[in-house]
Amino acid sequence: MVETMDAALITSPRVPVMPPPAGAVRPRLAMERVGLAERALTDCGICQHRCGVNRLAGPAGRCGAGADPHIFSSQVEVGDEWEIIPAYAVALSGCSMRCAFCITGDESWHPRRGQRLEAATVAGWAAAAIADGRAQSLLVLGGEPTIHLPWLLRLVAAMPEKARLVLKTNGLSTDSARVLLEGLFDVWIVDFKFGNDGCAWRLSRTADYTGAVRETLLWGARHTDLIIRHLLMPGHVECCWRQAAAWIASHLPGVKVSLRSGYWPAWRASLHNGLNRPLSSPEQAAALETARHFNLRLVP
Amino acid sequence: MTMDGMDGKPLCESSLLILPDGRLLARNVTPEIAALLLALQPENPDLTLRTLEHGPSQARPVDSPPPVRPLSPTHSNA
Repeated sequence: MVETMDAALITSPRVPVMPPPAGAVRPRLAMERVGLAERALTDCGICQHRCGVNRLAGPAGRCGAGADPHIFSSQVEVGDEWEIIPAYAVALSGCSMRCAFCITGDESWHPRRGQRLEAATVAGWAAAAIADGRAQSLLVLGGEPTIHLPWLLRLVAAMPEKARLVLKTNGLSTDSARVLLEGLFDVWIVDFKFGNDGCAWRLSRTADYTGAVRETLLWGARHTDLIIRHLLMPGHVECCWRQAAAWIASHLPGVKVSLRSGYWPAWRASLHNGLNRPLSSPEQAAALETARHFNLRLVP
Repeated sequence: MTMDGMDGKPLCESSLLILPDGRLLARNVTPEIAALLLALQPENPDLTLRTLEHGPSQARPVDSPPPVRPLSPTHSNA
């Protein structure tokens, strides 16, 4: 059972969204779907856990999130994949996973960290950063942004039609969420964190992980410009990276893969043997050799 | 490094971890943090990549990424 540690009941009035300009296809498409997304929260099944709770009535379910997200970071960043940076990165609190090593564990496990912001306000900041050349894309991440589906759609609705939109997700969204996101984000960066269900359960309390994330990856390759991200974890090069790499090579050859070596011990990593250290140089070398062995298309 | 939000923006934060072997790990890397780290490690190809001048008009040819070391330490655990 995943605990919800921040269960204060907060309800908020629905904020009307200003209609996008006529002819703006993507913003209009997003706005048209807001109502469907809100209805989806009344019997929530938009992530792998399918809790069936009514999140419009207040925070509920495994993620503990209500109807609207809190935002814990909003700034121009250059640490993500080369082709999307500089990105105006907006991080939403709350997540559908409970990764012990999460670098934003407090915000990801507690969906009311940060502050409430209207989607249009955040879109205005991002659009300004893109317009004046400080950023070339909007990157929405978390926590897990797809659990905040209505807000996410309102954000897209408020962004300029031609802005490059990037979604970074843990890959646990279900088809009912993905269908509402189809055609809205240019790039999906999907974390493929674990190569097997045992590690996923032990380190993130997520059941049936590989089936869910593989479904999202296959969908992403068909519907978006997909980047698969894998964070190398100490002691998990063979059981997680090699398994993930083998699956990618077999099912999605040629898809862009972003291999990240910047693991550092954070949050509750010390509760797990072997996770309380950074990646070693031999592990990095072995990971790269695995990528070469499977002829993966690594991107910086 | 933490900064109070301005203009109603949330508090923003970047973090650095310097390992005994000299490796730098960073998260929430802003352009300013990348420039700072590049001053510490001017030969680091990943940091060089992240401090390149760029703008919205410079579309990235994704099929021809720069020839740099593909393992990136600039985004951690997320």
